[in-house]
Amino acid sequence: MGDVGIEQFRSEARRWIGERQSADPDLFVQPVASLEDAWPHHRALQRALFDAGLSRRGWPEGAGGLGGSTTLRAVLYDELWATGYVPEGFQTLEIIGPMLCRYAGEIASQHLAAFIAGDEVWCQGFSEPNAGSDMAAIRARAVPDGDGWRLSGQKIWTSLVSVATHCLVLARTGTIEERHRGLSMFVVPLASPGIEARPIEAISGRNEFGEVFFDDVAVPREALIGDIGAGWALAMYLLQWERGGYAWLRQGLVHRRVSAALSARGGLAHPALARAWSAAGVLRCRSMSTLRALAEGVDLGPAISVDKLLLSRTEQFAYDVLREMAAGDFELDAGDAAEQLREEWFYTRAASIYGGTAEIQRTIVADRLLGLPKEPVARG
Amino acid sequence: MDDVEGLIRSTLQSVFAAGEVTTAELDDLGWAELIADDPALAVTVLFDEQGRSGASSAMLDVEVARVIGCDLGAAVIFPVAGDDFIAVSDGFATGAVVGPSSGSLVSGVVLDDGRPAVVSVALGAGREGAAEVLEARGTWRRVRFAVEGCSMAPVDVAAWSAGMAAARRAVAFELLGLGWAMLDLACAHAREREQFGRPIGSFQAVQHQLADAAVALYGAKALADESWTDARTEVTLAVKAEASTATLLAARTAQQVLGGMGFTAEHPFGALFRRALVLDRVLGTPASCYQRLAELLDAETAPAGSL
Repeated sequence: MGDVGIEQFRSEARRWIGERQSADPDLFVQPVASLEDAWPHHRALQRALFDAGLSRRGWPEGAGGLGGSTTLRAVLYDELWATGYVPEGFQTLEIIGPMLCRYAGEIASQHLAAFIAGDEVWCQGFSEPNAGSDMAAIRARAVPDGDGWRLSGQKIWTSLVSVATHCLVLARTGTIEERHRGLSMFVVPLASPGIEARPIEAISGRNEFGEVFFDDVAVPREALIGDIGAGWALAMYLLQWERGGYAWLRQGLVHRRVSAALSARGGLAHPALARAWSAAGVLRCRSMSTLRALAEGVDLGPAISVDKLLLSRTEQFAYDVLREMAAGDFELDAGDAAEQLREEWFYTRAASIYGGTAEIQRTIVADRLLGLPKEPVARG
Repeated sequence: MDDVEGLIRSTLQSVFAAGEVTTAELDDLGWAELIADDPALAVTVLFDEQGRSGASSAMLDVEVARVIGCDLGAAVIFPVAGDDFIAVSDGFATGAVVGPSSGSLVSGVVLDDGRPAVVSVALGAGREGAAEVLEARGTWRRVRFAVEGCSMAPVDVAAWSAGMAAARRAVAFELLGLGWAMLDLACAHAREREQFGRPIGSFQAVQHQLADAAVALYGAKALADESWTDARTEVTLAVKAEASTATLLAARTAQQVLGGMGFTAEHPFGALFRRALVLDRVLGTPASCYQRLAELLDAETAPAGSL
């Protein structure tokens, strides 16, 4: 497969989507159902995109992809949003996939194709009951055992755990005192003996996330990602993509919903919608420059905290406008469209919590970008 | 920042240190060649540095002339709303000009019976038929004149709209430069000023509001940068609105963090804040820009910035 230019790929994707949509319109309708019931539908479109080769562009050859610039993935998401729907599996793929490609070539070659195709869904086992914003306090422990490790501990707020097949686990291989230096990253199939996953019903009613308990789970040598003690660095690398590809997916969603609201008003646009469109444009342009930098292999460092803050602020602001424009449907209507709006609106509330809270991001911006003095640390 | 940009910036910083800069001084530095060579870089850096230094120049007129493709031979009268045309009410047109001396010609575009037309009028000192200077804030002045009896000429509307789009973009960069200058003053103060035995910048309550202002400035800059490849009127209205909003947030935050010093005439913050308030109005405050943007948007409008 030769490399393909952005414009060429855009028209290729647009043509395929158009043809496929006329043949099978249901495939492009976002399901309004519980996460578990909706997932087979997400998988069907993800599979079709994989088989057509479209979602393999921008991922490395040898890891299920067809090569080419990572920007091609953003092009595909733009084209999919034009139909109003991108399967949810791409969100977690965009966060985790790039880290696997960079640091776990062997694992990527074995798993990424299935991840892109939707046959595998990976979730993140980072947060713990006592390690949220203070992620360096992680206690889940991987103890050497023969050639591998045995893993014990508890994770919480693990997104998509009720549909996930694999969990990316950040676990302690060093001492508690080593803090972030004593962490390593593993991939563990959720079907492994000794793992119990319990969904937690979110405020929207959806099983958005859950708890995962590890009780002396056997973890083979091949499950280690990167080096022992490199877990924190890998997690930080991964978070950059949460500000890149993931943020790109989210701005696409916001633009799509604002367009739909403009359309519903039949030419009677409202200045608040103009503001939402403008704010979404800010997020889009910021994440576009971040994507370009990531595509060139630039390490963005603390600047990605700006993207995270823009992401949460924009989503929450735009969805507040959409709620206002829905004129009571949000609060009082039982139909699918209102249900979808409610579910999406509630999910935007989490954007200032997951992947590093807004407070943590502001402190990083203040400390690392503005050069303000560090706050004295209280250690109990 | 690469070497070329660094060199341009340090040159501009020494020029703008004088406060007011003539276009002739910039031309002596080879500015025209630089703009012809790489307008995006040259114009972005020029207005950013002009904002950061709080200086002024007539380069906004030069930028409009470059984009519309001809020199008006007069200072440009800019709208003080999100429209491309200066407002006419009861036969009088009102707009804002930067820097012309009394007696020189000023020109803007008004709607004459629904048709856009260039009007030119002398900037007067009490002479009949001349444009009256209502008030001045630094080099920016508000002018008002009776449209009747002015010389009128047809205008290429598409070119004029592109010129106003370019002006919104340039003013946005100047606003963001002002925003960073104010935020930098506040950060420097927060690092040095001690209360309760520690720098006030080590308190989260102070850190987080400064961080929020910085995030707004970075975000608005990303949008403004993209407007070099996507300069639709919709986009540049958003660019101006976001830059105004971010800069006024930076101003409000900086004034709060500076404490009493931010309210003194002596502190450099004051001049920057006053200039920011003027530029917030020129070419439309956010409310005015969003109002017009709402009229232009429909469900088919492509998002700002393309891959």
